Amino acid sequence: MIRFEHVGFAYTKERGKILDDLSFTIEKGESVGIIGPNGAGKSTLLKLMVGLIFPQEGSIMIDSESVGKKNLAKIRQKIGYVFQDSDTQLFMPTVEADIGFGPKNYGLSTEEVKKRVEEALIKTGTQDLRSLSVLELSGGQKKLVSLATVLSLEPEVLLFDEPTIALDPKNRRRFIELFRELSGTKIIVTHDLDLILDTCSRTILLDEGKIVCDDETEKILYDQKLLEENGLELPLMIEGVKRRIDYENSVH
Amino acid sequence: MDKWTEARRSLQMMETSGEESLYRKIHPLAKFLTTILFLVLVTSCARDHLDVVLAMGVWLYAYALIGGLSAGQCFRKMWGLFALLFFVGIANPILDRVPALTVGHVVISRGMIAFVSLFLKGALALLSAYFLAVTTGMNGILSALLKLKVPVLLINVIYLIYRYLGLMIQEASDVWTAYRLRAPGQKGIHFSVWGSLVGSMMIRSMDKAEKVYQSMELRGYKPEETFAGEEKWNKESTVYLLICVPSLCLFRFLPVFSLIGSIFTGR
Ligand SMILES: Nc1ncnc2c1ncn2[C@@H]1O[C@H](COP(=O)(O)OP(=O)(O)OP(=O)(O)O)[C@@H](O)[C@H]1O
Ligand SMILES: [Mg+2]
Repeated sequence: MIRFEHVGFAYTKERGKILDDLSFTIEKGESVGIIGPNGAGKSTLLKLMVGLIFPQEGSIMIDSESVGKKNLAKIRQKIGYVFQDSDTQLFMPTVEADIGFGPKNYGLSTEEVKKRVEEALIKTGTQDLRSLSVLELSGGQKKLVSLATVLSLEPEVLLFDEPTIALDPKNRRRFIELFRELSGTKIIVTHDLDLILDTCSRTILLDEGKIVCDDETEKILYDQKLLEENGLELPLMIEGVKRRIDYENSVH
Repeated sequence: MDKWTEARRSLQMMETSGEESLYRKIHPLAKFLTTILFLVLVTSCARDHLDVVLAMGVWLYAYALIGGLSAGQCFRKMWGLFALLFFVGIANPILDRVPALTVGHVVISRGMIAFVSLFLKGALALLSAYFLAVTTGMNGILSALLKLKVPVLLINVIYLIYRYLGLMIQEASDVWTAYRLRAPGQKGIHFSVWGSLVGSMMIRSMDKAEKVYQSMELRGYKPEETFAGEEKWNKESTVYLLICVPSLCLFRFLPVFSLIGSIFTGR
């Protein structure tokens, strides 16, 4: 369970509050999409959950622990976070080493680490990349490998920041399938509204650091007016269906 | 392979410890201490005692030979450093021309001897560090440092720099490409933009370094655990120390060359 209670956050005093009085609860096992225009504070929200930054106001609870400097290790072991920018997520010399970095740190045996790496490679379809240098990968491949580095930790909660950016259609579909197979709590931040439609039952719409709407995905994503008021557009799929209907009406 | 890729590759050599060296099974701490001892003994040689420096060279040569290590690799990868050593020492024979000895008709100056011994000392130090790196790997070295109670903060810094160096090379390469694309037909980077280029690269690097560190932390990086080291102290390590330390001292403090010479000449 993840609970935000009246959370307020500012990077600097001059810039002012990036997030303001946020309250919501995400239950264990839920899949939640977080959407909103550029600069709405979505990535900031995720960083708060793993304790990379701390709120100036309010509190954040992960299960029964309040996120703070003291219990970071415990909280981070529970949560996997796939960065928006995969360039900085990867730092080991080879793909394999990078995927094994986390499990090794948590003191798993050599065989167990190997097993975890193998599974993560298979799940993300990156077996052929295993011995490549991270710097030899394409943008999409980096994204898949970042995903693998987090999957190998087998966390209870998974946070994805723009997981499908840079992925080709096939890999995007692979991600969706993978996402559905994963158990645990999952949160996706993305501009790919179709992805949310495909994977999340609940959506939180964020704008200028405030929750505009927190509801069933369909209710939000089918609401053209609501989306446009907040700098977003209908998912392409819906847009397509609408055009099709218009077309058929005009023909008949 | 372009120069950037090559630089990165060389960096990776420290990742996996020594290809097929006999010293692989030796505990990192034993190798680390031996290397430190070697460095201290070599750098403390007086500059006009070329024979002692040579004796240390013989020791290192034997060490490499027994362990199946190749010095050639090191020369190829770090020739720039060796060249630097050369230029640092070259002033000696120019400035100090007092004759020291004559071999046949050739007069050898004190400066010449100082130059050769300085160069050798530097080269030996580089080589021994290189051997430590390839037989132990970065993780091993850091675990040795941790056992020696080096502050965790320092270990963090070393590890982050090491981890980050590869990305920094990439960054430099990207900046270089971006520059070239917008300044076609120029050779090198024009001096007027050096400042801003380097500046922007530094800022980008700092920002990235912070994120890389976050990524490490999020995946459970904790020096005390990451470098806890699976290696246990074994018999081989004791034997290794028992051979290396006394033989090193022997080569350093006994006039090995004169002794060998006297055996042959019987004097
Ligand atoms: N490290 C930082 N220091 C200062 N301000 C920051 C920092 N990171 C982000 N911001 C500011 O905080 C605001 C929210 O940023 P955030 O990255 O959370 O947006 P986002 O919703 O993820 O946007 P996007 O969709 O573009 O990824 C932005 O106005 C940004 O300028
Ligand atoms: Mg973002």
